[in-house]
Amino acid sequence: MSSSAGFRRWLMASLMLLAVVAGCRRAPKQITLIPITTGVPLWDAAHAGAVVGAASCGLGVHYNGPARDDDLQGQLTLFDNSRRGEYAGIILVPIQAQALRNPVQRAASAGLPIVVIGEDLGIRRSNVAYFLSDERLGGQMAADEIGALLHGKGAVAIMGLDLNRSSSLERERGFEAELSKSFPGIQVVGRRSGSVNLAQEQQIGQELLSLPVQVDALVALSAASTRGAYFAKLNQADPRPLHIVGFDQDLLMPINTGEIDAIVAMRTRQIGKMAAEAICAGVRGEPMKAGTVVQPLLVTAANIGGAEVADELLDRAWWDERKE
Amino acid sequence: MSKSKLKVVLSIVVLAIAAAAWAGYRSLMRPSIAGFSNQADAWTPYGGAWQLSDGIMRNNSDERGAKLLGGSKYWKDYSVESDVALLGSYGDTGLIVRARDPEQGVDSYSGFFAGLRTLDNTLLLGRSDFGWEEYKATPIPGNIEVRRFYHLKVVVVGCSIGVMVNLPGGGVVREGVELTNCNRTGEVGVKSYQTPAMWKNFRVQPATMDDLNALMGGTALGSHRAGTLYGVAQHANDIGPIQQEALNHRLEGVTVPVAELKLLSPTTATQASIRGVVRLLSPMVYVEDATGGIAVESHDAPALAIGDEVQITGSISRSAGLLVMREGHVKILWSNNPASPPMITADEAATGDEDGRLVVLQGTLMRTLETSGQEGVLELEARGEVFRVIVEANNYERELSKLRPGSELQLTGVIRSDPGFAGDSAFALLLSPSQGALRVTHEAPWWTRRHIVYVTILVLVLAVGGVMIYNEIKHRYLLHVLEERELLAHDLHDTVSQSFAGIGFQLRAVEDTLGSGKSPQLQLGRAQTMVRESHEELRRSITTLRSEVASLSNLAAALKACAERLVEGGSLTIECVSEGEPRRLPLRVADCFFRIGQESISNAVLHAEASSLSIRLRYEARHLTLLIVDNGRWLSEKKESTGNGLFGMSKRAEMIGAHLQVSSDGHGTSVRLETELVRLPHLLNGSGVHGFWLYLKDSIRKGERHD
Repeated sequence: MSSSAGFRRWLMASLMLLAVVAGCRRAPKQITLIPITTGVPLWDAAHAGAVVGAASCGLGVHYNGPARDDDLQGQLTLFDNSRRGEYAGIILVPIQAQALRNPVQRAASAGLPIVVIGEDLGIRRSNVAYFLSDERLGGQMAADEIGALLHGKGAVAIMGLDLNRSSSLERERGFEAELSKSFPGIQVVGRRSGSVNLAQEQQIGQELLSLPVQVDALVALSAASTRGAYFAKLNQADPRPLHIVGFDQDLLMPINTGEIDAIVAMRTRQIGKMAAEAICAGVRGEPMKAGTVVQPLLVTAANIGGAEVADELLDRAWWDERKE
Repeated sequence: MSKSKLKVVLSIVVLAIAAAAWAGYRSLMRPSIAGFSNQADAWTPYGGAWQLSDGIMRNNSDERGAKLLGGSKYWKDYSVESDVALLGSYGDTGLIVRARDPEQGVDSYSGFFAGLRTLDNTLLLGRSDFGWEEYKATPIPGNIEVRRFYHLKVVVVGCSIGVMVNLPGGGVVREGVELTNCNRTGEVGVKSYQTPAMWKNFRVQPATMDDLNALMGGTALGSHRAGTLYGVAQHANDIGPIQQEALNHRLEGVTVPVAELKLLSPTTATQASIRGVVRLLSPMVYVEDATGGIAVESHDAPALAIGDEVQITGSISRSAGLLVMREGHVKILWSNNPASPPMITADEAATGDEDGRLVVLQGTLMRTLETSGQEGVLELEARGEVFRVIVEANNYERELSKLRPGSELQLTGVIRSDPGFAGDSAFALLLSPSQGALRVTHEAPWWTRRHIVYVTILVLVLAVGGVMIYNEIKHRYLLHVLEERELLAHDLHDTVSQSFAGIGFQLRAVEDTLGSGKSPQLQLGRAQTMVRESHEELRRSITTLRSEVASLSNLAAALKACAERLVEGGSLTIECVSEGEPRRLPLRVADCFFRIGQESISNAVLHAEASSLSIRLRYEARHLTLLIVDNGRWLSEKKESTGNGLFGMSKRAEMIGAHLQVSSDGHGTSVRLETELVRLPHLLNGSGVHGFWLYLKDSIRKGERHD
């Protein structure tokens, strides 16, 4: 064999190997989980659950979200980066359903398994699944708790209503329907929309407490409004008994002291785990179950120290389970 | 310059490059930072509004998880220390070690964080990996004071991390962990969470286990094995800090919406209270609520941060439609992540309705106006509106230097319409210091006037250079042709010229003989023989001058064919051997070896009267050797007929830098030709690269000769 022929063969072999290597894509090793925000602990339990669920198919979880609850642009950017990145699938908790619909549609069209938590975007494909908390049931739970606290008689005000989120509207509908059905003696004397701005929520809480009609209980439909209601209660100029039933587990500690009566919590750990398992199914090429509704959990002084709350809501040991 | 000298010089150059590479590697691997100054480019912000002044790095934002990273991701074991001060009453701040894969976000990096937290007044240590895993939270006696510097030091060696804070009273608090799994290398940095903060005297240096032990001062490292990896403050689950935080946010008195302040008397200042979010700190503080924005010229809060929700009571005046608050008494209600500002058009901004508000604007950069030391002024155009952008030069030095007219920018800042800022433009935008406030959305096209001039000059230089190179090549080609002519002249002199001289001599002898009446038969016979031999010689010369390029791919075979052609019909035995792995040779080398070989074979066949001829061609890694040996007459005996042939052979050998040795031992003559081969990739061999190498060698040799 002459040297030039040998060289040519070597060159051809190298080029073919290069082409094969360039043509091969490494199998993705991670699922990305994009919550509404990573600035509050609400979604940390979902992260912990997703880590467990993803481990069942040998994947890890990349967890990052906007620093603010209303940073839609930031979430869109993260979603777009994740879509282009090497991920096995995306778990998304959209800040706003309408704005995320088209990006999710595009990613799903490319065949990427996607799980959407908390909102139904209306996209029906075999690689898109939804995990929803039963918001109407959550509203009913809140109504039943209020009814019990007020013994069927009194005035309540609702705050934190987000007209752009179907989950928020469902909560309110479930609450008022149950209240009028089971506790007709309790009147809704005020309704306020909400935002993620705590100062604004506190101010709204204080305004509601200044209504001509004495408010016996505040029902706060979001984590920010729950905190706002709590701060408004502590800052009352003329302290008087006030019950608070909130939503979403941002602030659980005041339940121990009785300053907050109950919180309707999302089982975020369970949802995170099931969402990651759904992505695993998608990665294996199996059809993903279109919709799963998970019952919320009412956290009160009676059960806050129990195992169920610890298992479902706390984010402890997510690192241990994964690495150590 | 001799070959040995060349080798020495090359060795020195290689060693110098290796030393520089080693020094660069050492510098890359050796952790070393002293302060924030002079390293502006070395720090990468991930969120926040960073400002460096008098050696103090400050984050003016309440953003959750704003971080600034620097150093090298290859740094391994080191200590990081800095004086750290929290400027807000709610949040944490401290130092990051071993950071990898950073992104913008709250805990969006893989590494470790040690710092001070005001919520529960603890020194905390934990792992961040796009999530937060807290290992230790040790109470700090006497609580953490806002705006007070604490000296914080972190040592990380292997998977052991220790942190120590010096307390103002003289005491220290230490904590540390020993992990089984960790990032072994990573960057360093500073971070604050939901509070503005300051850092100074930042220092990084290499560390060992001894340094870690010294830092811990006998305090045991927590470990998973010993069941002491986690240790949170006893009152971490205490409701007290949360209640206190709520009480801190109590609203006092009645606040007035900013829009309503525009209805206050234009002639007298009015005392009023507003509530809003701090949007800008420099050149003046701007506070914005849902109805509008107001400038706060003077206030009593030195540590305001962008994103702070504040209640300010002060004297409000209105002049030329612009609201200004003076002597404001500030109460910070909340430390928030600043909300995203709305995007508006330049038309909307020009109406004046958005004065004092933080907005996002887009425009095309027209030019950078003259700047003072502290301030840069850009002039932009959008939808026919021309507006100015006022930039703090300190914060945007790097970005400003890269901006080119024609680029499309997206800017975040506060609108001002008064001529003091806007000049003769429609309005001015006071650029926010927050990260991402100045973004180039589309670079200006490259064909600017300046670039066209640059490209034209470059093309001209290349053209002139190309012509010079072409002329040089042409010149060298002519030189080569002249050298070939010289060789040809020598060949002709050896053969035809000598023969004609001999024939002339015989003809004169014929003339003399005829004059003496003798028969010129002998002289005529000699002359005829000489004509025949000359004819043969000339034919041979013409044959050898024909191009043999096609046959040079196999040099040994070409030489053997040449010898067989010359001895056709004769009894001379030819042995031709090729040793080593044959390879493609540079054309000049192959041609030279063939010509010299051909001349040697020709001498052996035509003049030496040899009965055997041996041709050996040996390919070695870096050398090529040709050895032609005959058993004919000695060199001295045939010298008269080969003298100028030897000259031509020497000349050809010199042209490629080869070594030619012709010797006789009494039993024949041996011709040995040896040259060094440059190891070049096969694809390059035979091309101009080898010619260039020969040219270099030739130039060095000529230079040496001139010396």
